[in-house]
Amino acid sequence: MMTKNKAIMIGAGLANMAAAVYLIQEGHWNGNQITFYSLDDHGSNDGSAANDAADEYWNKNHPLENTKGFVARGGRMLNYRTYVDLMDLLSRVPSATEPGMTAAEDTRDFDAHHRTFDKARLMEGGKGILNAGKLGLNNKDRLKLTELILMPDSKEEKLDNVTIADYFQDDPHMFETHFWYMWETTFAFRTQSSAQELRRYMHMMIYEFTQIEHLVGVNRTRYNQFESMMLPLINYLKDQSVNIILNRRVTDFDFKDTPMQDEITVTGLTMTNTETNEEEHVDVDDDTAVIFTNGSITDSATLGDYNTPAAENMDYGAAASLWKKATARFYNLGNPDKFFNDRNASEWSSFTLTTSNHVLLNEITRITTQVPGNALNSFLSTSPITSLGHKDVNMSIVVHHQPHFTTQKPNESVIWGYFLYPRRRGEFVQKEYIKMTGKEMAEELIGQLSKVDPGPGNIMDKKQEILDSIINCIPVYMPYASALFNNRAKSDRPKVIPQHSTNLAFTGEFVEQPYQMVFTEQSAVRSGEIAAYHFAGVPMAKLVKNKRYDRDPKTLAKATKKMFE
Amino acid sequence: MKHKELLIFGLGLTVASLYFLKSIGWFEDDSHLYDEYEAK
Repeated sequence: MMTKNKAIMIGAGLANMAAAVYLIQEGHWNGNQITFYSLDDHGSNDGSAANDAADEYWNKNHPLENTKGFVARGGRMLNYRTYVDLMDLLSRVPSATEPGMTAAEDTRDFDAHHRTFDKARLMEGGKGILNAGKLGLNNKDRLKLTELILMPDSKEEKLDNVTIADYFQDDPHMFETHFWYMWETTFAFRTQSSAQELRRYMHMMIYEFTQIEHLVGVNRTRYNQFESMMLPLINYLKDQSVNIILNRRVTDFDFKDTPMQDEITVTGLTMTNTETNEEEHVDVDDDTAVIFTNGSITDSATLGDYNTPAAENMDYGAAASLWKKATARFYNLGNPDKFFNDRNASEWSSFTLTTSNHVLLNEITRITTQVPGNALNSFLSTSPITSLGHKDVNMSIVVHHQPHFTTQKPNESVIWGYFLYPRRRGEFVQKEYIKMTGKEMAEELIGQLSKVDPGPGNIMDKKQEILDSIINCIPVYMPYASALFNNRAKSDRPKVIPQHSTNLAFTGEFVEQPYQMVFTEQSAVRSGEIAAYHFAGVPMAKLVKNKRYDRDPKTLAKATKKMFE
Repeated sequence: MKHKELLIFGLGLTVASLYFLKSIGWFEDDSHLYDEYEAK
């Protein structure tokens, strides 16, 4: 019998939190039937005071000198139209900050009062704010994009092991278009990323295609994603008596021996208590499901501070290492090396800048002509920086609505930014981004802003005042930030419930699901939902319905029109 | 003659529309995509 009465969750990110909520609410389980083992309880949806993050697992070997300010390793934009499973999940739990609202109502309420309308999506030195609505596509670009948009799911395997660079090999012009600059930085695609995943984005995000320069339709949470998304889930699950055990790194599976060696039945787990370094073992009986998030884009991510660059941690990642153990035993569980053994394709650096006043915020507002509130601004280089000899985006920033953290003081401001290619060199600080301290990243940002400053005066005139206002700027190196986009074949990721599995499910961003796009809370939540329904015996017909905008002729017609702008 | 041209044009347009709808997966049936995950 596939249905179970207990579940062990390996990893406490969004996907497994979702699985637990659906087990309780749709499977009618009690919370005490579910146990989490995880290093931490935020997954990739983090955000906290730097002091809280300073001694987390990945940073233990290089603690911060300056633990002031705030840090969020990444940031996500939501899209209600396509993130329907996520919104369903958030509608099931109370908000952690807004009394009387569910987490979904909280987000919708905030978003309704703070609509995203980006006015400076692309900026370039000497030109200022670009008219990014002019996508800059030529007929060859349009043809190649149309091929992707018109390729149905059933033909998707034609793009097995094809990178975006491969796909546009005969059309390098694509990488010089406003369309590409916006697409790569909105979603964090690199040229080495999977064309198969780009196809899925072109299908599932086709609705955004027509409004990408203003990011209309992009929704954000009221605060950082830990407080607005993860905390409501954690609070709810704890209220339901779910057992969440942290500081555990699960290091190996015991599998049942069977004559054909293909039945996947977990019988035990080995784990390390990361506080005591002691090894522990947990038996898994026949009545227990094991729901495993088999990769994390923030595994092995390290923090620096104002005067210290983020060190590079060469760990393969906790989740991926365990996934690799499973693939060593069974042949149908994918290939983790595709995602976790190519840092050149997956790494980025980000920074979170906390200031004691609004001087920098006000300068950004003046230069970008928009008030703080969730826009994404990307700075184009003024000279060629890609291997193809093209200009490209140097860095991107998100100036959130303030406060972005509930414990932020009224005059403090928090700004987040990232470098999609951390081995490139700064234009104002002559070193690779990955080697920069927080202060140097702030200087690089001020420099980039100075290039696009319309005047009168220039932000450089206030450089010292801004630097003096910085409480901390925390650089973060994430070796696997874009790993989920790495080049792959469909068979490189396990299915949520692999063939011959009796009690093991895979969840998160490194699983194969029909038509879902990764790097969205949507696909992560849906994987958890599928696993929960499977083990609780809930019919799959109850899965949240996903609208296919890629099959809507009106949406396609709008996208076609946009391609000619 | 004019009717014949119109008929051929209409047929051509129908075939092209059907081909377009087929190419975007209009006729693909998603209802069984999750059958394999049903608990047995």
